[in-house]
Amino acid sequence: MIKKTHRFIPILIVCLFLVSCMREKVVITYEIKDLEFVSDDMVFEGSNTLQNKHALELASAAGLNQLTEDQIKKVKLVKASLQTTDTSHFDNVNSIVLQISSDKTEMAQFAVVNPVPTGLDQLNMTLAEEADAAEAFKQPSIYLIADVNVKKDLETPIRFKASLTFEVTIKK
Amino acid sequence: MINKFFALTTLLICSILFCKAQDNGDDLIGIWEPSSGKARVKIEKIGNKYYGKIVWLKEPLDPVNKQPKVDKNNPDESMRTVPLKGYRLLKDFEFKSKALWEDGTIYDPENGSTYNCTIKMKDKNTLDIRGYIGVSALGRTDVWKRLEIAKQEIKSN
Repeated sequence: MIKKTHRFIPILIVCLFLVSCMREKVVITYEIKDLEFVSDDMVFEGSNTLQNKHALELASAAGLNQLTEDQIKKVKLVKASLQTTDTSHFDNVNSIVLQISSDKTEMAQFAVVNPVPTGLDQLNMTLAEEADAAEAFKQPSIYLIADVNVKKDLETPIRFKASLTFEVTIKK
Repeated sequence: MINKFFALTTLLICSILFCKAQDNGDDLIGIWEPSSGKARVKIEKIGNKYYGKIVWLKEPLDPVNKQPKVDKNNPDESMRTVPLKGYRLLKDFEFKSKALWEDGTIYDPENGSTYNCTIKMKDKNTLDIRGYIGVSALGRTDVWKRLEIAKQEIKSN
């Protein structure tokens, strides 16, 4: 009798595995809007680091009460735009590289504008094809780091807002 | 007798101060030059980790198109327009103890490869930067020197 029961255990394991694989995967959109980046009062020619911390609210964006780390499968940046109200537009800037990290994950490049066109108030960034922010999105918050390459020393701060759209693949 | 005591006390205080100085992760912050002299790297702290980016290049222009050099060997083709000036080639270093920073990576723009890396501060102006694949024994160490230079000099290119 016991032996007969044991015969079903491997089948049960396979069934559980298949059921777990069949759990519904959904892609949700997660937006970070108007995240403000401001430099120090003095900006020096060359690369300047502007950073911001963003507290993630992924569960509520997915319409869930709770989201575990295992449920977050892939996070891809699908749109990144920068907006400035500065009268000099982005004309003092050569390039901008956007990176994401968290306290427990590695920093990675996600978007770039190089060279920066002159006379524009809004820039659409070129996005990294392969970068996946899933590990960073498993943390409570992420750092967004903008490396801004400035053409000359400036006595007024650089100021712009970033709007980012991510596609997040989660297992429900 | 009093002189001996004074000398010993002074020595003890100096030793404690030296150990304290070597026990501060922020000692890594500054501008450093690799042994090749081709670049200068500024190390800064973001969150609780240390990162280094290129702030000066000996040859800032691409010899072919005469434009500022970009990361043309990046494995992700979409990111090959990232400029080398400002590039973060040292990433995610955590201060351990006794002048040692670990768990970071170093990127070689000449071949687009990223290596595991440890940084050891030999003295306050000298770093041993060891890049490796897999185990630390299979790697290469480069000696970087701290630069105490005027801003004008960094701007020269």
